[in-house]
Amino acid sequence: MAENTSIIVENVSKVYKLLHPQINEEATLTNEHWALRNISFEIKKGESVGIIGPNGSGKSTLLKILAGVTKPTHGNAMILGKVGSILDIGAGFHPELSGSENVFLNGQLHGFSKSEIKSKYDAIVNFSGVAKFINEPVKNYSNGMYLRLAFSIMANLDFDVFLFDEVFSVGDAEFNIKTRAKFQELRATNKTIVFVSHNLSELENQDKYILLENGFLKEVSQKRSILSNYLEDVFHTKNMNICTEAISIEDFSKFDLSSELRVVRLSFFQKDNTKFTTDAEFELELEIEKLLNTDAIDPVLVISEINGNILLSSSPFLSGKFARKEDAANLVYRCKIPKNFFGSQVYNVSLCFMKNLYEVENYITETVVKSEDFTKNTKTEVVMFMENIIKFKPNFVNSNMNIDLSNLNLHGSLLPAFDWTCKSI
Amino acid sequence: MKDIKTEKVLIINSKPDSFFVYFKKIWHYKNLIWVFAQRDIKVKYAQTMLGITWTILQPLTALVIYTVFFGVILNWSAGDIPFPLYVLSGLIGWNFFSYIIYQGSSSVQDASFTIKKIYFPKSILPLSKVVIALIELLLSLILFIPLLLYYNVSISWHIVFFPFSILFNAFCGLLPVFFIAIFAYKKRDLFHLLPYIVTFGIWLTPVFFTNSIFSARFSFLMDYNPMANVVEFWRWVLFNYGSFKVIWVANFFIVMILTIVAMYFYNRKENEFSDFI
Repeated sequence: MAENTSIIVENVSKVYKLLHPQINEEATLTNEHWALRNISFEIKKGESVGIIGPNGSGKSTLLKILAGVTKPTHGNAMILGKVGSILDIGAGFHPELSGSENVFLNGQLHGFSKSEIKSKYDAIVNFSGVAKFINEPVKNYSNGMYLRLAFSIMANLDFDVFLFDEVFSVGDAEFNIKTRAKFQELRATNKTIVFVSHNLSELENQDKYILLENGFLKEVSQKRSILSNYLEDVFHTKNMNICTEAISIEDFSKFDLSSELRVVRLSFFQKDNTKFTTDAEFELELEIEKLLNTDAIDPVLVISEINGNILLSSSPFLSGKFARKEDAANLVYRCKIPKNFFGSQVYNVSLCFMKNLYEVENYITETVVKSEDFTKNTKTEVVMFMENIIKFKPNFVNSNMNIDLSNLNLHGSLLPAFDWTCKSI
Repeated sequence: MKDIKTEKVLIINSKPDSFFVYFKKIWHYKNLIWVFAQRDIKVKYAQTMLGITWTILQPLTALVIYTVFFGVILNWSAGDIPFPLYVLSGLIGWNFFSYIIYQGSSSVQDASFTIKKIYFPKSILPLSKVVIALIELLLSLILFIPLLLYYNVSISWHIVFFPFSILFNAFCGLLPVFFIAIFAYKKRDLFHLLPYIVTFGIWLTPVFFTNSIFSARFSFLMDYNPMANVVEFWRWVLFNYGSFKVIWVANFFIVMILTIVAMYFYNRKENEFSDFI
């Protein structure tokens, strides 16, 4: 094993026996389920690694093998140093015992002596933030408290390798910030962290990604783009069209109808460009017909990521252009999205229509009102919300430079070229 | 940075541990035996008012029932020692045995959640039950005090063999636990045998009857029942009751060796526990 290697996995396979035989890919009846097939990879000390993949791809089995809980059917793995793991909320805890008794139980289960735990006890309790309830039986703890205590034990005892299986989703925002800081600290002291998560935003900062699919190792990569590619893969398999060139939609029958409004056409294109690129301006044209003439209706453009994470909302009223009751029934809205704004990934375009914003605006400008009056007086409501009308993916092109951005591992889903200047002083 | 050679490399593969590595591992995790035992005792008496007193009440009740029924109503006697002492010295051994069997064989199933999430040698679980059984046994020894005073009986110097009676008794309990677990983790039918061993076994073991009730033709049968040996050995250790039999030593070693072998085969199977329980 090389000096700076932490984990080596060589040709690891794991087969589970099924109680009820199933027909496999080769169309034969078998009671074997290969949870992992010939997995090999290496992790260096101080690396933080995210394992991704759909349910049933073998992520948890892989962690279980690394934690020594189950043995591989073939192949072998080597881990340098002490391994600490949280494979489930409350694993290694006894519900009837108090928090402090469980600190000792859990620590000793992971191979630490009572005196070692005692010397770290205060740090563990303080970090966990459950000091107030530390003498209560943990059966009365919430999942979040379980996690806080379990993670605090892990983080404060002297492990070399940490394994986490999808447990951080129950922590609150404050605790997530704390764990992030702790992870940085652990990485800086050459500890290795491996974790499985479906919350891809949790995995933004990893040194390495391992993508599993059906028990196979699909990809090992240091590029963050593996996350968005993985997401796109997931959605591709569900047969969704992703536009890479101009599109105009006139058939909205798959969306719920509204008695007040009809969307006639939505066009999304780039002038002088057949294929979408990031270095050109996007244009959006929206034609609507108001069916009732009683209310003012404002459109709101919502752009989100493929996993539903909303990136932005934009509407004419944000630049003061409110819709009016007196507006004609047939309207065309145009919107320009600046060039060098998107990255090269899939975005979702949704539209939302809100009515009576103008009245509210008038109300605000005419009298100074308290916020509770505002909510009382407003008649604003969402008339219609059409989700995911267009999915599009521009190609990354930047006329100013000639490099593949995916190599840079930039953070975030939007890569806007703001107005930057630099002067020598 | 630590030197690579001083750090422990954990090797994970499909091979089961060798005999010596296995017992070395148990030695490494020996702390856990006590940790689990302590935990189970705390949990057992959590939210009870009488707490550990319950441990004494259970053998006390059995003692009273057996003494009244067999000693008073049927008017059986035990020869050299008063009948209640005879019954109690039988009961402590039998209770020790039955506790290990019941708790030991369900211990893996009871810990399934932990087993599926954290590694430790699974033999630790039945072994920790032996510790609890031993604590309960020591506590029930308190029941002897008033009886010894009342009947004015003294403890024999044989009491120095006390550790052997404990060991013999523990091996008798552990052997079926390990043996059955080897076969029963996939198909649990064998677990249903255990209550039979305990409920019917007491009728084949001189806990509340004496060997004299057997006709001479059958009394040798008691020599082949290790638990009968254990119970007789207990009485010999405590009160110099009966005479020392060589067959006890033979059975002791047979049971001990079989237990260690069963434990090792249990280890070869325990890697699969987390996949099947």
